[in-house]
Amino acid sequence: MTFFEHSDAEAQRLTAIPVAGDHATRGIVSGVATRWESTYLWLSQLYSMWPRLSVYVRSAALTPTQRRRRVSHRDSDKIRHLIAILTPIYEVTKACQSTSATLSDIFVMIVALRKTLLMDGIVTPKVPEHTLAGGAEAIASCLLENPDKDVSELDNRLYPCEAVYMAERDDAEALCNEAIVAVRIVGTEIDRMFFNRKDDTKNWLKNPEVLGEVLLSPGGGRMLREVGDWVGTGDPAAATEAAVLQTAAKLRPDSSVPVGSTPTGTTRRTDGISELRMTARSSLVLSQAEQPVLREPPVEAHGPHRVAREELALFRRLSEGAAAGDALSFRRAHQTQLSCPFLDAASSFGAAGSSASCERECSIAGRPASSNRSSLTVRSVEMHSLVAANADLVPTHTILVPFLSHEEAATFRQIMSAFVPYVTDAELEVYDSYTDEDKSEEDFNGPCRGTLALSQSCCSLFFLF
Amino acid sequence: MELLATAADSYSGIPWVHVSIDLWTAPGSRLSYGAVALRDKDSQMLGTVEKSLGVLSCLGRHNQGNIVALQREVLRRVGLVDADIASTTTDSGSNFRKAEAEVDAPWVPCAAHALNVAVLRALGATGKSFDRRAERVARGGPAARRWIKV
Repeated sequence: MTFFEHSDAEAQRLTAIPVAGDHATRGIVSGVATRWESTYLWLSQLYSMWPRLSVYVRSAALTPTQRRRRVSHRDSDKIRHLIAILTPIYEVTKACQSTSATLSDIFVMIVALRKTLLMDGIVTPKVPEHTLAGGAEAIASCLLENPDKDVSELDNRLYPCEAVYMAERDDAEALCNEAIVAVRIVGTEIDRMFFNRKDDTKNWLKNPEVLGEVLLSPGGGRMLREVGDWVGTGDPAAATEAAVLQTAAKLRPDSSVPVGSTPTGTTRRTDGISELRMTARSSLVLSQAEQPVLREPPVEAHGPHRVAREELALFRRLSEGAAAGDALSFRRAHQTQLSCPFLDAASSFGAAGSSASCERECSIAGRPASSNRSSLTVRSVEMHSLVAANADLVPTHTILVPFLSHEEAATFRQIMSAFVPYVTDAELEVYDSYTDEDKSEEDFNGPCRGTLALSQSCCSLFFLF
Repeated sequence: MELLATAADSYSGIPWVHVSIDLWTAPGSRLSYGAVALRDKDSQMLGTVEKSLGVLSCLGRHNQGNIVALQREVLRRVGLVDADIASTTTDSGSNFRKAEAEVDAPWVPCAAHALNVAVLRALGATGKSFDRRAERVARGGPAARRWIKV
């Protein structure tokens, strides 16, 4: 992939190779250590381009050195086995980044991921040459025609899939050694970072925020018991319950605590994608259970601590038999019974399981990162900081933002082109010609550059509106 | 700001706001930047509301003291104090862990960062000692056999 990244001509030659039944071609992506999920996406794309790659390496136009980079079926096996391991991790990482994902949702997914990696078998796509469908419409119709077929979606293509096993079997394929080692290391790392028995700060079963939120999610008490037994730390539910009640009791009785009515998102967002397609993309082993619908009488308030205790008892009665996770959907389903203001206030449904919001802020809002997010583009970050610091200059109501007609916009552009800041043209020319980030940073720190950057930012904002 | 003031009134008595913070240093530069985001329960929808406090330029090294100072300063601007913080979420860097230990609120390590680190180590993609071992393991040999026997 690095070879193709460095040569646009070769990349175009690769994507131009015709493959029957697969007309889609894309730009080549690569794995970047600081960009989450990029390794999986990179391997997926490599896998989907395998038929083209096989043709490419046999091309007579290649130099002898390039021809030595032959690819074999064993290489494609390694890739698909690694993809099989990375698919559930990708799924969990993606779910963590959702703004609606609660800590309990993430906890459930982390546990599911650990259990998936402990299983003997794992689902992997069969062969890269055999694509069942490519593109959203073709995939949807293929899934509808073959609802019972074992399929896996990778890089917007549908492949038949099969189970491969950690150990050799007569009737099935075994994972390659590299993939087995990767599974072991990922499992060890997950244990070290989420269920560390030596370091409480890295043990989610010792984290009061995580415990409180899991306890106040459907099936949370049962989940904590199971995971506590599994990890070997014992049942943390009782201690968590006491801590939640203690927090709830601190709430002033006259406080107007928010009471839930209509929850919004869930972790597994479909975004208009069919359930069959979501299943084709997923490889996590999640438990599914019917949610019982019970009706309970309303709780009479006496005092913060007592009310909180009664609310907790009511919640646990309702949620004990429910499937673990998806707390918001559970609340929506039981909104008439579950009016627990003290418990809601003490719960930590707002807690973030990942700092994706900060990452998003820097990589999307201000576009300060380079195109592959491997490094920061300093000019953009500076401009973003400058606009943030001068936010009070920007109109708060959109009605106050002047609307320009096409003619007015054209006139404005002409004026803007003619705009000359009080720095000299010579300095401007030097500034524009800089390509080295370090030098441009030093240059950027001056007040003149700040003024120029702010005026450019404001112009951009005007066009945005 | 109005949203924050309303929420603070509603939750008087208990910590209510969840803070995420992350810092970056531009490659080959001493300039660094930080982003702070707040999360809270939505009083109407029982979902979560997220409010970004923007990207700010950070002076000094990314050590414990500077991180705490930055966090407190940014929160002070929107009228929040340490007592309002219900939890903090950051990556698992030792500087963040030490900094958040100073704030009297539970610290939640970023799950996405942790999983990314796990993948990198499993594939031997970074240069630390553990990762070099992982790379050797992935290549095969006695170390790999030792892992496989587990």
